[in-house]
Amino acid sequence: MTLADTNTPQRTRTASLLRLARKNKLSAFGLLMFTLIVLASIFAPFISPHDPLDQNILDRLQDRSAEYILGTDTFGRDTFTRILYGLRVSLMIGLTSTFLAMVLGCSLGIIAGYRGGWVDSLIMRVMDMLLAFPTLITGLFIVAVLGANFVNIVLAITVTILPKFARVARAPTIALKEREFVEAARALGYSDIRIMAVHIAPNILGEVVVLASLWAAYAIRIEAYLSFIGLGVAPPTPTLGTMIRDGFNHILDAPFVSIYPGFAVLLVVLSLNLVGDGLRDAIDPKLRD
Amino acid sequence: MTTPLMTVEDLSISFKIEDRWCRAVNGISFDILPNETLCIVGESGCGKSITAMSLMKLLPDTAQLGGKITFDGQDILSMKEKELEGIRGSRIAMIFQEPMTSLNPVLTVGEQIAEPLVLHKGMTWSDARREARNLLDLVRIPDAEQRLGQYPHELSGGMRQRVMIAIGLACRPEILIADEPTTALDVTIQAQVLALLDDIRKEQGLSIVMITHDLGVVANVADRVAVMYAGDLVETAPVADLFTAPSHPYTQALLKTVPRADEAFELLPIEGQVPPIQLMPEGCRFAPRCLEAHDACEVAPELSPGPHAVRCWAREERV
Amino acid sequence: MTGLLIVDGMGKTFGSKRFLSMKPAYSVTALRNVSFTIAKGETVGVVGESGCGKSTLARCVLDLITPTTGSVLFDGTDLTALDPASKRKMRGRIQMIFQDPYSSLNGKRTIGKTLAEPLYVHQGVKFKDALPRIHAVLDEVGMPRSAVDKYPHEFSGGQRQRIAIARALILEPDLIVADESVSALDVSVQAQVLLLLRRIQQERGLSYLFITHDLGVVRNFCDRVLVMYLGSIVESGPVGELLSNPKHPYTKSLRDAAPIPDVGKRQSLALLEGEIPSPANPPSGCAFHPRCPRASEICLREAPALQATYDQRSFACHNPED
Repeated sequence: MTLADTNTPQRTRTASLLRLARKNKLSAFGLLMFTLIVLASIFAPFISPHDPLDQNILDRLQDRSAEYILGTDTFGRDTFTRILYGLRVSLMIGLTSTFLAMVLGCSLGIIAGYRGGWVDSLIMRVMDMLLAFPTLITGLFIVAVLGANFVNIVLAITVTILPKFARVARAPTIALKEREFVEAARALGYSDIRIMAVHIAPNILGEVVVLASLWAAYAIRIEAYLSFIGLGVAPPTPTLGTMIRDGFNHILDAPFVSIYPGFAVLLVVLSLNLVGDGLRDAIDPKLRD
Repeated sequence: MTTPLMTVEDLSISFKIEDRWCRAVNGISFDILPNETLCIVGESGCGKSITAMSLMKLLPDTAQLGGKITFDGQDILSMKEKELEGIRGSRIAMIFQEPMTSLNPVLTVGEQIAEPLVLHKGMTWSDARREARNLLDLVRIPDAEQRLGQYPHELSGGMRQRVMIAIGLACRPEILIADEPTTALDVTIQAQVLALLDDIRKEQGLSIVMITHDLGVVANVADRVAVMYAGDLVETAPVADLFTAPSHPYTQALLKTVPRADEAFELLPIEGQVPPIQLMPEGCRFAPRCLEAHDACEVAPELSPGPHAVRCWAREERV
Repeated sequence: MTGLLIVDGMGKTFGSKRFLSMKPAYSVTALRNVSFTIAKGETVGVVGESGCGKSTLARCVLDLITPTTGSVLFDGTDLTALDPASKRKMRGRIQMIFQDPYSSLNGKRTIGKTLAEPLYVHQGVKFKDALPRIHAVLDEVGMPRSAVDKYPHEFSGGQRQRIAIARALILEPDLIVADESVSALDVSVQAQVLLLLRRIQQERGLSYLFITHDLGVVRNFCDRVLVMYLGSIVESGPVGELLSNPKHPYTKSLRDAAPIPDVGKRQSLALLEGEIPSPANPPSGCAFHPRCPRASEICLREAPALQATYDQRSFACHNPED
């Protein structure tokens, strides 16, 4: 029975995910919250009556009101609208970079683990070098050198979390490589690329997806950091980080300008973390059932 | 007739699977006589290992136990954990198949042999260490003094199994339960370990219950044999009787499936496979694979009395 | 005799040369000058204890591990000289069955996908078109056709081993290398699988290289056998002759240590003292001399060469048994 557990195919895993969602209410709540946030950012123009760039200097730094649900910022722009549009940018950056990091990092990790020898050493030493710098410093460096625009920020965040994926993918690959079905695949004359893509990757996907959800939250935080210190997407495009920074000048007289976008960051990160924890529980066979 | 050291009566062990109680061991009875080697033989899933564990009541709480195991006038199954601790390791000891995982990798060989002596016999560590040295001599490990300070990973598989045996023997138990003790070993090393166990049994006057799947091992070391199939004890007999006059259709069939190194013959496999525990057939559990099954087999037969006991409706004609 | 497979002077040394690594290099010789042939339709057994190199030998024949020295001639083609692409193509003709039926099938793929994949990779056959051939091979190994949509964990060990055999058969190989393929199975199931393998051999005329530690299986399944000890062949010959009249003391000890399920043949099993030496640190001269009851002074100095005698038999010993 224990042997069968390690081989549980996707189908039963999906079923157990559903079962877990019912059991683990907190994760289900996280998933719901995240879905709502994504939907809200996608349908921002339909939800909000204002334009995110529309300045109304007479209404600047207002607290909550019927007109401005979450108040206005220094230029009298509607905070609620800007948060919705800011979420779009933040989520785009966070999710794109996580996805890229996952694909690239896992590929590198699988290649390193499967090939072994000098390929392994070379890839993993480079990954170690990237990991040796604090995440924020690496990101800062890339953005500072290449300039702050959408593509470069995605690139910066991708590079900072990519080594983590490589590490996570490499270890199970080494274990799987010793399994006889991989040897059998080689004996059947399958190419190495096919073995890595078709036979190894699906077997480590579960673990990787869990971490992806946790690191997506991390990526969104990095985006907020970068924006906060002025290395984010150029104004006037709203992102959560720039909004917090803009409000920082008025933190004493109008704290709400920073607090609401900060709260939005908190919600996104929290929901992703809850989802990640739930996924981890669902995939760990010891915690299933 | 010698008085048995331990008597197992109508032992049943059930586990709950998908809200249903499934009997992994289905009411088995046997004796363990003083200074004998009893082999419990069967294929995987026949319940031989959990039977062995139950002799020390070493089963998870989820298992439901029935029947009676009498040892020294007491029923093991109704004992409290505290009382059991006084028996486990000191009066009944156990050794396992995989000596690497059953030894603690961070303790030296000496510490691991000395531990039960300190625990059960109240020895001081220095006395226990001296005794550990004697035990290593007993299991014929060369350079005993030096081995005491080594860690399990520094020893070969055969040496580790000898260390396990030394730990098992530390408190001079009356019964040593050996669960597939040589399955993980190479044949020449297996032969050494089997010979060692037999010598120790003779020297120390203890009884060995050996769990194995290998009929070759059984023929070479057993005094008496109990054959299990799917949780049933189907036949028990002195070793010579079992091999010269096997009576249960399963035992007969099993002997025809084992390839022998001394002669080539046409193997006759048993068709089908052991049913999973939640899908055990009613009546005789071997009936679906039995070539001699008939209507009577829909009701489970009883084990016949006598030293050569068989659990089969067709036994009258046969014995 | 023309062989389907001719292995000549095969050797394998594992070493460590890690790039940018501080770990010291080491080397272990797992195979030493191994030569043998397998004829069409023949079953050759390889027996020995752990560390004797029998699994390395199997993997070298398939080029899953590249041998350090020697050549592998398969049906007239030198496999060691082929480029990777042609090598992969040849792999359809030599197949392997593994020991552990739980780990030799990919748990994430249905049986149908597992069986269709070799046909797709080698012949570009789509799943739908492969289905008749998948059904045929499932019939051949005695598995229901409904297995196509199921996953490995839904089957027992014996059934999985049948599926692994089906996967090996689907490309219609000429040689199957079986590495301890029945060791993990219960005896009753083991006999089923052995008979299945024999029936397949009779129907298809293929050859087996059968790696095992079980002399009983060798006796009942193989035509010829190679006995290995610490990376070298110490004796080879027809199974019946070799086991009833072994020349090498190791073969004799191995045979006498194998327990026979017959009380009439009850014996003192322990004939061989000592442990199997580590391949990393082999003894001088004949590798078997520290455990050998017949060892003499020359055995310490000089490794005996494999010498052929009558009846396709050969052995490597200075003081052979009578």
